[in-house]
Amino acid sequence: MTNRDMAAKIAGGWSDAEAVPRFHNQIEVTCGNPDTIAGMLHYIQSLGFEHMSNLTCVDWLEENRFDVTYNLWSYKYKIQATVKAGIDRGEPKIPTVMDVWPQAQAYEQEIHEMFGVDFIGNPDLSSLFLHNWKDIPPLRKDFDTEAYSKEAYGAQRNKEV
Amino acid sequence: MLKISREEIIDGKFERVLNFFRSRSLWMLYYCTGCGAVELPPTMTSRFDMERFGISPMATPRQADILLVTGYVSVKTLKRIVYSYEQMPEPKWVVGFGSCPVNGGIYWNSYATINQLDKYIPVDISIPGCMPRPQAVIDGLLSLMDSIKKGEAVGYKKYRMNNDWYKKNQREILERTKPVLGGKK
Amino acid sequence: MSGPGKKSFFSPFKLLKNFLKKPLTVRVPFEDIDTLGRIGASPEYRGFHYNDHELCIGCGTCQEICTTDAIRMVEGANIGEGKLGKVPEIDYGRCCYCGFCVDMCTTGSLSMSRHYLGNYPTPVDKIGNAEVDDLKEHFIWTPEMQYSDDPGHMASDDQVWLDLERIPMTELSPEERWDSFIEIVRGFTKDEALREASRCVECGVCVETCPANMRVPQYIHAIWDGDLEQSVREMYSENSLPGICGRVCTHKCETVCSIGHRGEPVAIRWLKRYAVESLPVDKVAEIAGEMTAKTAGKKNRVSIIGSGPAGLSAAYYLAGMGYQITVYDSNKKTGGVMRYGIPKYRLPDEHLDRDVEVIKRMGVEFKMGVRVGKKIKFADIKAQSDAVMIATGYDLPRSTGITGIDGKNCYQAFDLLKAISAGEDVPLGKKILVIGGGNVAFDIARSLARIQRSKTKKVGLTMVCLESGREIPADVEEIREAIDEGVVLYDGRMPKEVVFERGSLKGLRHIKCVSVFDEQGHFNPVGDESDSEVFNTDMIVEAVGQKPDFSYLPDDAIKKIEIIRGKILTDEQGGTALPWLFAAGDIVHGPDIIHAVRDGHNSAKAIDAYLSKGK
Repeated sequence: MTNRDMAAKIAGGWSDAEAVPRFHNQIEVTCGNPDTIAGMLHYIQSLGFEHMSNLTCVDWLEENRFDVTYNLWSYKYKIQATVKAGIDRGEPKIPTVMDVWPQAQAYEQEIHEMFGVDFIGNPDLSSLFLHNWKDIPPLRKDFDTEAYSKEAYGAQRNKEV
Repeated sequence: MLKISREEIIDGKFERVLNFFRSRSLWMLYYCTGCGAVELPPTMTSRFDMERFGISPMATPRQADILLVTGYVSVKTLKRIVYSYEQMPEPKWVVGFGSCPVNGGIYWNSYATINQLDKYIPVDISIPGCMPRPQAVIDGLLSLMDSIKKGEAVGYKKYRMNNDWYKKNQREILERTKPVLGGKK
Repeated sequence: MSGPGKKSFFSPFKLLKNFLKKPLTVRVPFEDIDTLGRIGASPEYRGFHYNDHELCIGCGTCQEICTTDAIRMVEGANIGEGKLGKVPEIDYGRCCYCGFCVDMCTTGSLSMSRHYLGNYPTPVDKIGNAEVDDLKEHFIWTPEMQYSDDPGHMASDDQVWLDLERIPMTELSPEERWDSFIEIVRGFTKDEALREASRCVECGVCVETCPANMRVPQYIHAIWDGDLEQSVREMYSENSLPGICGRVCTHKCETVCSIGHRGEPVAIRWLKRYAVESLPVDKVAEIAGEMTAKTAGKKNRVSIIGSGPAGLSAAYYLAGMGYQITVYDSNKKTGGVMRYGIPKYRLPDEHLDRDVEVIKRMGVEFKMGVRVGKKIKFADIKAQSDAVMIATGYDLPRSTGITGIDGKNCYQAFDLLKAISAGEDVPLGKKILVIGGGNVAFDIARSLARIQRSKTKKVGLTMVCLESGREIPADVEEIREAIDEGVVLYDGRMPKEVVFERGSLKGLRHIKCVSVFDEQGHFNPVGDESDSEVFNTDMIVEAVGQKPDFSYLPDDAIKKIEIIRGKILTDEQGGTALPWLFAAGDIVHGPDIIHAVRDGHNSAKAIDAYLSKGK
């Protein structure tokens, strides 16, 4: 099965999914309704994408949107699918996909810490790396890491800008 | 408040004799925090053989004399470093590896790493490099042995005498109660 | 190997052979490892830096490329032309020894050594913040030559990150150009200009050197961004004749360009030309108009005598400040020496007119063909205006003064160039001799050679100059191109007298020139009479320089202002001893177009200050 056929199959079987084939073995899937992301991923998993290799998040500051991105891999068809779910940056909430892939728990915990995305249903969203963090999540685009370092740890610039 | 005089901090004659023997048997806490960890296996093992100078790795802080801070220190690591340092029995010494403990190094503007280690625990010797080669590590440790013999490696005494200052700096980072950037959004 | 259970009785004794082996342990610090044939770190090791302050120009490229903000530029002793007086200071509490600074170093002065040992025991008597700062500052130092004894990673031309080679400029071949006045240089295409602009490291060494302090890094950056309008805007802030300077500037900026230390300098002049040329003249005029803020209510009149680069420059900036400007010039067309001195194959008239058009649209009034002192009295101009600026340039030819030089068939280069520019017929010999080795001499020689070739298909033109080889004052390209076009150069000869036979010109007797300048560096040529010969010719053109003409100035003004060696003594802003009189251009600083542009700009500011003071 080529990525073109697979894209058609995904888009045909799930009404909120929009799938576009990319390059020779990749598919870009956009989830129209993030509230149903778990069900959609369950459906995509049933098509042969048994492996979730990564879960990450992209901050689109100007568009006021987070793209929660799931990288899936099918060992059977050798196709890689990138599933994107765009959520509102002001109130970032998305259901957990722990029921589909249990290992998503740690990924979601990390994204919650670094981007502040709330994964509904994930039992443990405690801090993983940061100690006693009070500011906005550090990987958001509007977080000024140098200003933070200056204030918190007394960092000084050598080069005059 | 922070004052120190050579007379009260440098060891007396009896201590100096002890120091000579101490310097020949340094046990180090092999608690690797940063990239420098990779330079230590060749330094410890037969290629550069640190044991020629009586320096050997030790598993627990309670039996160690030297704490190696091998590279950048994140806030979370700093907490563990302070715990370990405080568990070590005196006399004890701290070695700062490479650029990062001196002035932040390559991670100087990171949100998660401190810039100057010396603010939080007393560093006795700093070795430049990114990371220092095993030769540089041995050079630094020999220099530390020399300082110990002369009784000039007195970081632990400074820590004891100015505990308030160090604790204040540590608390500022570890026990923060409000946002640093003033809650900017 | 013997298997289990079959061990020999002696097998434990095999251990003994290890006593003879060389031990694996390297007994640092008493010995060190051998890396690729060298004891210690590897031959290309990146350890502590060292920096040759005599080579370093302080361009700051190392600081710019540094990934960890470890480099700060501090005051240094490296002052001089093309040097910014700054040296890098390195913070080893930041440095990650990546060596980017060495790969990017424009002069190759910064290198890394194989030294890496430098531990620092914390001092006993310091505590608290003092101790923290001491530790930090111990690892910050300005690298000098202290580690140069053991070089490691050094700047090499095959690893350099700079683009050392210039994008070649398309030029007409000698065969294509030698019988016409078509412009030789074609100019950059868009792609070439982008690639050339990308070579610039934006260090700003050129800005210090340019007499007009043009904002070179900014306008090259704008070209690289593809924003030509911004680029032209940057140019007009300091130079009102960018189109002309883009062709015929003496480009001192390229002589000092930091890339030129290891490779070929960035073609700053051609980039400037590209930017101005690519925009239509209406757009350029619009940008030039918006640059200078028009302030209403300034009714003062300023008269400018001379429409050369200095006059035009002052007219532009003064008009932009809102003054009423009148420019007087004795020639029929504007431009002065740029039109009547520079041949068309270097500066075509249409490009000169473009820059003048921009200035005309600023509301400047031009009165052409008016020779001050003849058609109109200087006193009248003075009476009509609140301030007068003179920028009359070098108007009269200088002569060698050898016997017979004012005879028949002997001409002055300046007059001929003027005639050629105006399209008039010029006298032409079969074997022409040009005396002089400056740019003007080459201009007239190449112009005459073109006319000769277009008319007779043959070139008979020889140049005689005092200087020899590399001492010839003209540009190197000028000499090379002249020789390509068939001009014969006879250097190191000193003209002695013009030989006449039965009333007509026979030739020029010249002797060997031993030295041109005396020990004090003054012009004082010495010849060797024993080596004398006569060169047969039927036409001699003299091109040994020009001098100013101050005859139009009234006597009382000449008495008050100081004139030293043909140059008017002014303050830095172009003001003379008379408060209402300003001078600029060649008559102040000697012949140089970009200097004249700067003078015009300075005088404009000074005139503005003078006229505003009265209110």
